[in-house]
Amino acid sequence: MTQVSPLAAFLLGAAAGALAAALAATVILRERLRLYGRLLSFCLHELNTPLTAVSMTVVNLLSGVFGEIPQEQFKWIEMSHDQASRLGALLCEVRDLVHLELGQDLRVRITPVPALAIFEDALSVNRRAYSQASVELRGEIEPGLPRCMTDESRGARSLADLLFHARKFRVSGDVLLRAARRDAKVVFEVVYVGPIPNPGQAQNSLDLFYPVMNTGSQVLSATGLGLGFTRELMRRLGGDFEFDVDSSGKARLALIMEAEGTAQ
Amino acid sequence: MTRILVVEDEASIAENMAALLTAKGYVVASCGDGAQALEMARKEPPDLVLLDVMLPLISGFDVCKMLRADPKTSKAKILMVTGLDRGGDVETAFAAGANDYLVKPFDSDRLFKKIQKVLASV
Repeated sequence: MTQVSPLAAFLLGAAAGALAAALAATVILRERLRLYGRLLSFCLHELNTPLTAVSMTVVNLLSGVFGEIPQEQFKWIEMSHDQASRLGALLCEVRDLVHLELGQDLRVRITPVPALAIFEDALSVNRRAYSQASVELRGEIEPGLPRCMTDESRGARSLADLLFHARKFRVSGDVLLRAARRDAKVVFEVVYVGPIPNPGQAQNSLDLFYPVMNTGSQVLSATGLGLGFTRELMRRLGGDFEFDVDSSGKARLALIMEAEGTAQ
Repeated sequence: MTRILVVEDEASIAENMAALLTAKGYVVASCGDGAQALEMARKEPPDLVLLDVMLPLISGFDVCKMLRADPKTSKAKILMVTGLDRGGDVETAFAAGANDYLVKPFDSDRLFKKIQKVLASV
């Protein structure tokens, strides 16, 4: 029989003990994060109801459900509506991030959604804000596009977020939203002229926590939870996300969704 | 005339829903808890039920199952409104018999589009 020296036995015992302690700490930490996730999820749920009430009230006011409103008040209610919509989109993103990162239990519902519905929804959410900023928003959609396999609300929200991003970071010219087929996918592209980035900045901005880590840089900062979050979410929905900027500052943000009948 | 029953315990949302749908030409009734919803639906079966999940007395999921189980109300379209704060709420809604769901927060435009879609579905 091989003899084990007392020192080797001690070291083996210590290593086994350290491993067991590390595993226990991981389990405890994992459970604690899940608890934080549930707490945050509950808080977000509590925000949903008042925000829904406010959003419904302003849209009812704007659409005349409560009667005529004086023309000079219209603009202020429209601005309240835009800000409530923005808050709603952010709340949805935070909720998804909580489920992605803390609870690790994000569930999505993939169904066929008409490309035109996603396209028009994103345009309609942004039209007023573009008009107020005097920025032209153009839309081009290829006729006869197939339906996209995506989560209906998350797909449309992500595209609307990209238009918001383009308006915020554009430096000149108009913004173009175009939708076209690429092989077995439908690609929604937002094209605009933005700031000229340093080498590698565009790709770095796709890291999930890029906006948090780069608070000093305004050049490629992001709206909402950032482009990294959009990419993470799109991949969960079975699609993908691309972001590139050329040396002249021409930027392209692209949401890529599987076309119906072609998903792997 | 299409009859819609709004089941929502938050008065500010229920009243906004009722005002919107009345303005759009629907006949609207509303109540704030699950037990009342079942009673009203049995008395005058609606074409569509807008059903919140988090309700006093009986949950929206259970109300949905009971409406489906009762021959008087089983044909009604059901649109569930959920905060989606827990994974699986949407699956639970469909398993309970809902035709569709809408996630809070939403505004009147989104709600109305969804109602039209559900009412038009076979």
